[in-house]
Amino acid sequence: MKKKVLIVDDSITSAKQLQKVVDESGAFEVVGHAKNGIEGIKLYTTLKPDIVCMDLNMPEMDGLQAIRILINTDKNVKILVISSVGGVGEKVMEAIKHGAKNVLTKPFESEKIIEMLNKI
Amino acid sequence: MSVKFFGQFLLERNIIKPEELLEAVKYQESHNLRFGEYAQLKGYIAKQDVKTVLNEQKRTDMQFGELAVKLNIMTAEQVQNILTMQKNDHILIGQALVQKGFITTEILEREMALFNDDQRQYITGEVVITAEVDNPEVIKDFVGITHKMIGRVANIAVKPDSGVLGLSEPRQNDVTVSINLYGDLTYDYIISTTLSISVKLASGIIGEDASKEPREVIIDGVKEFCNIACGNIIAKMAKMGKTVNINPPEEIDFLTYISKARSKKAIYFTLASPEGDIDLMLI
Repeated sequence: MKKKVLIVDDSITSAKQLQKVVDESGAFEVVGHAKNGIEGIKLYTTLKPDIVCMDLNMPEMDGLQAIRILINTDKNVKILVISSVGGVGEKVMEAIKHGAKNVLTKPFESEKIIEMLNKI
Repeated sequence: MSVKFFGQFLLERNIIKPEELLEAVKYQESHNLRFGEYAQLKGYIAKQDVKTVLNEQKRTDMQFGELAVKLNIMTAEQVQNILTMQKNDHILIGQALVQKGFITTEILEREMALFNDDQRQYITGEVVITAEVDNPEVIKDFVGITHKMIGRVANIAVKPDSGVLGLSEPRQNDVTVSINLYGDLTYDYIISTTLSISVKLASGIIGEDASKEPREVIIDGVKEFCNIACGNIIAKMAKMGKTVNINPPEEIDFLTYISKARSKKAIYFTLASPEGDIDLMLI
């Protein structure tokens, strides 16, 4: 049984790349793509994914706010942050404090994503 | 693959767990005392003196020690002593992880060598800027990291020029994307280029040929490229102690681009390649 992954990222191209890598892994499948935190929360409640891949820098509602709300909604939610600002120490610490399981910096290597999804 | 801080590097390599990093940072913060806390701990000043200096600091741009001397709360020699002790006692995140027992000294040394190797590619010393600009080191990072990210993401070898200030007639390109950076430093970061280079950037992000994709996806690819480049640039700034945030990228039209290019503060670089040029503007 493949694990369900929800992508929350305002970039269509990044989401396409992530979907390609995730779907090709055979162990995971992308079940939805939200373009900001608000959509992400809605899709999380309807799709009930096993893992959320969350960008941080998004319009309307950013990733940190969305993580906080998701954790309050479901304390067992598994969130992997994938962001261009993943190299900024302060952002990484905030994401982990808010409840993210790990943080990956863009641009990323395909194998790294799958390795992290497996370990979450 | 990107500019990182050491803790993040260890996380991505699964050397430590996120909760261990949190705990080590907490330990590091409790260990690396601020100047006033240190001076108080050493008995040079009282709690009330710390409050007095901190209050005074709100009105002046002076370091704690410097101000404490000016207010006759500490002597210059005491300030020097504290600075020396503070420097000697300061621990870095790697040492905090060792002291908390999350990694061994051998692992720290091995990983630090790998980290330094990984991050060496983001040293942007070779960029030459002839234009007289504020914060030349920061500008070098903008150009240098953009240059490296174009190679990394789109596999295009570009050569940056040395930059010009303001431009009355900027080149009209097919795609122009802008990102606003704000915080300790404020800049508009603008990339303008041809459709074919944009397709290459989008292909690099997606990981497959994007030439058949609609324009919306191509533009998104350039936006995401700018997002990635700026994310790495602010990570480099964070290492220099500057807190900078980025807003989501947006496509801008040529008229907006011209008005920005004509600003006296605009610095304009051409990153040339045989496949086409990429114009980078910073304001």
